[in-house]
Amino acid sequence: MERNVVYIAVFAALIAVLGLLPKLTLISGIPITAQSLGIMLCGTILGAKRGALAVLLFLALVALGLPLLAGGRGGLGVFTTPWAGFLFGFPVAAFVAGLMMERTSGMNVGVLATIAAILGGIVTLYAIAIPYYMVGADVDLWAAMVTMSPFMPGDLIKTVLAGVITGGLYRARPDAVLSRA
Amino acid sequence: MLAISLAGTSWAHGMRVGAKLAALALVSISLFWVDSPLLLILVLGCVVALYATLGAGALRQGVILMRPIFWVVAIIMAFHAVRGEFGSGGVIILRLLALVGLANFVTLTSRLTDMIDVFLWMLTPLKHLGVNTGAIGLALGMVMRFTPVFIARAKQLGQSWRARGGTKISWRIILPLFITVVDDADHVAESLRARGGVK
Repeated sequence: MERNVVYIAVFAALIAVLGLLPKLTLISGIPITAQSLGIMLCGTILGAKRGALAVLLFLALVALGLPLLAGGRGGLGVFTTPWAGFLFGFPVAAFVAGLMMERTSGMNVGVLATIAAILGGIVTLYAIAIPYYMVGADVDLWAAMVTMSPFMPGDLIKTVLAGVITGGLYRARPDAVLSRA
Repeated sequence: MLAISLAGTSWAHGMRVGAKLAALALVSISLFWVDSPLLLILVLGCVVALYATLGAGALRQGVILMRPIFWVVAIIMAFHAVRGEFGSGGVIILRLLALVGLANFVTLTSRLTDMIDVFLWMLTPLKHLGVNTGAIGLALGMVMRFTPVFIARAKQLGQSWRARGGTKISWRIILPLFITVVDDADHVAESLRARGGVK
């Protein structure tokens, strides 16, 4: 019980930290914020339920008025834009990624975490964010896809990083990867 | 850790947070049925007037909070303009500005501690479903305490990375950050248990 609560809390804090750090540079030199990487890692490391709860805890603090979203944004206003589909999709994304980690076995944890991150952090997340944006901004599918396309390459890179980091943590602290426990 | 809210003693600060949130929810939901540009301009004008009653500082803070919205507005307008639907694009944008402005107004005039109190009060029905709401309050406090600690640690790891010849902060500091964090988490969980656990 105590361990679950503390892990959920520290991972909610890590989502904030990954969003607030100066932009990270990748191998190719593309700067990205790592907040959605934090969402993927909540799922792949904590598993479905705890991962989703960590994300919900993070979102609750944003809603209550802490500037924890990437770029120091926060407050109730961020939940009323057409982009808020990403925020509402975050806990579901973590849940799906975590579920995939819990329900599979045998494969290399890093590879598995990459696939789980793609399934949760890209497929599930965009399946929620795109229709939400289409309704909120009153645009068609094509316009929504064009608007969001600049983020997709960065998100794909983040799924690979999620795999590398989850695999690395599993080697260093196998007990901490609760989705595999 | 700094919250977004403005310090102050205005009429809006004096209102109960629960009342402000209820009003916000009511207005936000009603606005989705309003399609008249004139009416929406009037609503937006009222929102600006609300900020104005708090003084110039509040207006400036309101605009700063709105800044990330402006490019969203520009993109939406561009896509509507391509199809020649200036009217419907305008309605969407007016409604968006009013909604975000009003929601930010509530955040700006409500103290974080009051917001947390209302939030925990809203969660009380969950107790009957067997949810440990005390643990949620504890977890909220822990996130607020840990976030600045972990940011400082990430910066330190970034400096060591640079000292060893790295250039900018790389994604490579994330794994060491996570390892130190889960070690901390295990220690905190142990000391919580030693002090009687989460009840």
